[in-house]
Amino acid sequence: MISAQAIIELHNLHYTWPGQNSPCLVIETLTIHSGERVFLHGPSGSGKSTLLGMLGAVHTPQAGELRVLGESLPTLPATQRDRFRADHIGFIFQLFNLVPYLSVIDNVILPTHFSDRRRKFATPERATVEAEATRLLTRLHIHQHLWQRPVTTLSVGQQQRVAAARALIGQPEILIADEPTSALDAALQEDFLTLLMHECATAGSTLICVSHDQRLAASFDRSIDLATVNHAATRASHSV
Amino acid sequence: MIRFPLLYRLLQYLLQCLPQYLPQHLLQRLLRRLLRHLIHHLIHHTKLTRLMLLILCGSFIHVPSGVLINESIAGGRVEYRVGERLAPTKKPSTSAFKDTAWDDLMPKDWNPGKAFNALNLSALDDADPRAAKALSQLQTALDNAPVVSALNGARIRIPGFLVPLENQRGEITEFLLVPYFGACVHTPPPPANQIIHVFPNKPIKNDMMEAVWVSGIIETTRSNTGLGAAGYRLKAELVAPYQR
Amino acid sequence: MKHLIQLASRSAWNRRLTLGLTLAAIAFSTLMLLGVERLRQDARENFALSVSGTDLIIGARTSSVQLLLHAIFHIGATTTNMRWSSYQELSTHPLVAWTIPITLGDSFHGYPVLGTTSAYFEHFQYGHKQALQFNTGAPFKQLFEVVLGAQAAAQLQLRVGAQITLQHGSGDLAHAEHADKPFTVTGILAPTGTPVDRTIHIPIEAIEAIHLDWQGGAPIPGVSIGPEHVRKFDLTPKTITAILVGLKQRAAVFRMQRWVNTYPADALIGIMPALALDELWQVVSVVERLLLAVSTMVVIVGLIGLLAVILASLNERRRELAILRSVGASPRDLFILLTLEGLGITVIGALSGVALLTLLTISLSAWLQSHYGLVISLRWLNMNEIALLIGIISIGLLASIIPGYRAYRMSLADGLTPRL
Repeated sequence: MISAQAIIELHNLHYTWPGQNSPCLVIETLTIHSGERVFLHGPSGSGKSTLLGMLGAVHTPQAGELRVLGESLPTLPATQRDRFRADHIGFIFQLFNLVPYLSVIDNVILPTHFSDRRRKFATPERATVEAEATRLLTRLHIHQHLWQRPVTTLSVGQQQRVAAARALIGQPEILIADEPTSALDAALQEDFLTLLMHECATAGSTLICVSHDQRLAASFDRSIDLATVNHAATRASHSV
Repeated sequence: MIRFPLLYRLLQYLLQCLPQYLPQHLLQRLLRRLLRHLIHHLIHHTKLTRLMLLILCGSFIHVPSGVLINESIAGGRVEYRVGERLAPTKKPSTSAFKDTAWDDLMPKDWNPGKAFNALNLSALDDADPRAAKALSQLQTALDNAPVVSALNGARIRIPGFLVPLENQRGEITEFLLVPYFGACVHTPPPPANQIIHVFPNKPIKNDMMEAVWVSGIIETTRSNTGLGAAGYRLKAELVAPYQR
Repeated sequence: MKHLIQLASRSAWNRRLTLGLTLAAIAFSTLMLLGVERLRQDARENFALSVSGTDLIIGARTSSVQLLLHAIFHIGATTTNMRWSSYQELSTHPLVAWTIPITLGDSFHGYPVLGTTSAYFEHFQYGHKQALQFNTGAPFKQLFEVVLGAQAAAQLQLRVGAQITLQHGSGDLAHAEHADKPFTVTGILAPTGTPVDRTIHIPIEAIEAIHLDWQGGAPIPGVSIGPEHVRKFDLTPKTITAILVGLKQRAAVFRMQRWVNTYPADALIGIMPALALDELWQVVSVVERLLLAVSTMVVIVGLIGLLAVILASLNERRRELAILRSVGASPRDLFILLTLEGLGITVIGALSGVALLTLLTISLSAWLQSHYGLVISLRWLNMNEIALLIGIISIGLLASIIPGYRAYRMSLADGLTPRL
């Protein structure tokens, strides 16, 4: 459910990689509302990952305003930014989402180690975090016999779903997915997205998905073309 | 530039502590420079907590390695020359023990060198047997030196050099106290009234020929050797190192 | 913090093969360092306990350390012997309370043979002025009788009443044997923890007796003097190796020493055992320090190995670190994670070294005691050893900070998308 409340606001954002002359990201304005399902689309090198890093409070812009959940991220000190990310944001990457030496369950409950808020939300009525993890895994069609297995024995599709469970545990407000389906077979891609969106809706999280694959745009509420929003590419050409 | 002045001062203190344990000069200076670079880099590029952690580690190493190096290199060992006597200390004894000099252990009227000095050495040829005879007579007189019986039972405090007699597990349970360094090795032995047979009430740690302060009750012993010589015996209540 | 420890241990377990090898390296280097330190201390204690209550040891003029080693520890040899007449004159000196003459030179299955008199069992002391005790039997009275030290008797499985034959020279090889003159065991001493345990004691005249028909280290061909005839000869020794002397007044030791050193009829030296032992330690301390330095180097090498392994693995783990960052770990958390890994390996390695030391002590102590007379006690770590252990762990900690710092910097630079 989309509310009118702006969950992410960017104004006049400039970001330059250290050591580069020209900025990688120049965004005039970008607003995302709570509960939206946003599809960020752009070819490789258009600054997708950088923008995600910015939204995930990993990189700080050199200039401009960046507000997430009402917090101005650039003004926060580094430790608080890390905590912010732990508390409010879940991540899904394209590949190698999981920590290889932990089991499936342990991977899913990782965020609860670093965030008290998420641990609290993951344990309603005195349940354990493992119970919540198993609940999410079941909803994402990961069967019980896989739970204690090392993650390297899972297929890519299964790994992505485990990553989704990890991103969802503890009900973070924002879910950021960087090319989540690019490594999956065509048949599985839609299934995965449907599952993901369903869970986001249940949890009330905002989903921001970045991909170069235009075909996925149809499933989302909103589609933003990064090339249009990011003016950096028009100023100078640089190879990334 | 320095965001944490307190820290920097702490680190400077650390730098000053290190030279105590490291060999001198060049290595010291190099290490100091290195450390300054490192610290400067760290202060600017790391968080406070990490810096504290590092300092903790640094001082952690500082302590046991200092113990090690101090133990293995005979650090702080004062070298004495053979025949050297201990200077009387400026600080007098504040306890019940009376400061005593080695001369006090010799009777005032005792003059072993009388016969020797009476000899006109310049009138003798080289290798004149009378010279050797006079010397051996002097030696005999020294061997039979009398004691000052008035000292029997006195509580005294006297500095001297330690010659161990019983030394087990690095602890000395019985030793001789002599007035000068090297009394057992090179020089002729001290006269009988310049040697004290000491029994410490607690075994003391071993270090050969160390200079010590001995405080206790001194006794005069009668000789049972038939040679007419006697000696001193002391039950030591306190044995402390002698500081120059 | 607890979750970081859990992560670190899981991660380390995942790479247990390589980390296990570095752990073994640290364990063995710790073993070496602590073992050297412990051996050093135990050897010193052992040596110091070997003689007590003796004011002077007198022998033919040689270095004091050599005389001490030979007379008390039966190690090495003296070049010449002192005259029996010197011993006689010394025994009558008014300052002297008792004397024990000793002669060394023969051996029995590798155990040194000591020729002495009954004064040895009366006056010899060790440890803290402890006299020799007999487990079974009594001192020798007759010519061909022998008293065994506790260790010698146990190893050779001899009891009171057994017969043995001695061989010439001090060595394990089967030299020419004095087979025609067997000795009867009359007594076995109680264990002392000193070289006495490994010594075979015979009357000093017996040394002369068994060498009567010998000349220059070998039997004279064609000459054979049976045991029943030896008593007809004068068996007073001409030379002896050394004398242990106790004085009536201990403070007179310097005088006695000077008398001995200037004795005109024989070239003699008198040494004070405690001082000679100190001299020995001074000589040995150079080697000790060297050993300690070498062992420390070995520990540092082991820790450098650990450092190399963790740093090498760091590159592969950039993805994993990015994942952890995405989940909410701060760069400081990653620093702690990596440091914990290195520290954990160091601590476990060091403790394994201590365990190895204990194991080795248990298994080797019997062998060391029987072959070298060295008693290694099984005990807890003393302050010195704990200080060494702390030193090892803190160097390990400092070493582990390096990959931790690298991880910190890497995660800062990589963010969530490391460029692999």
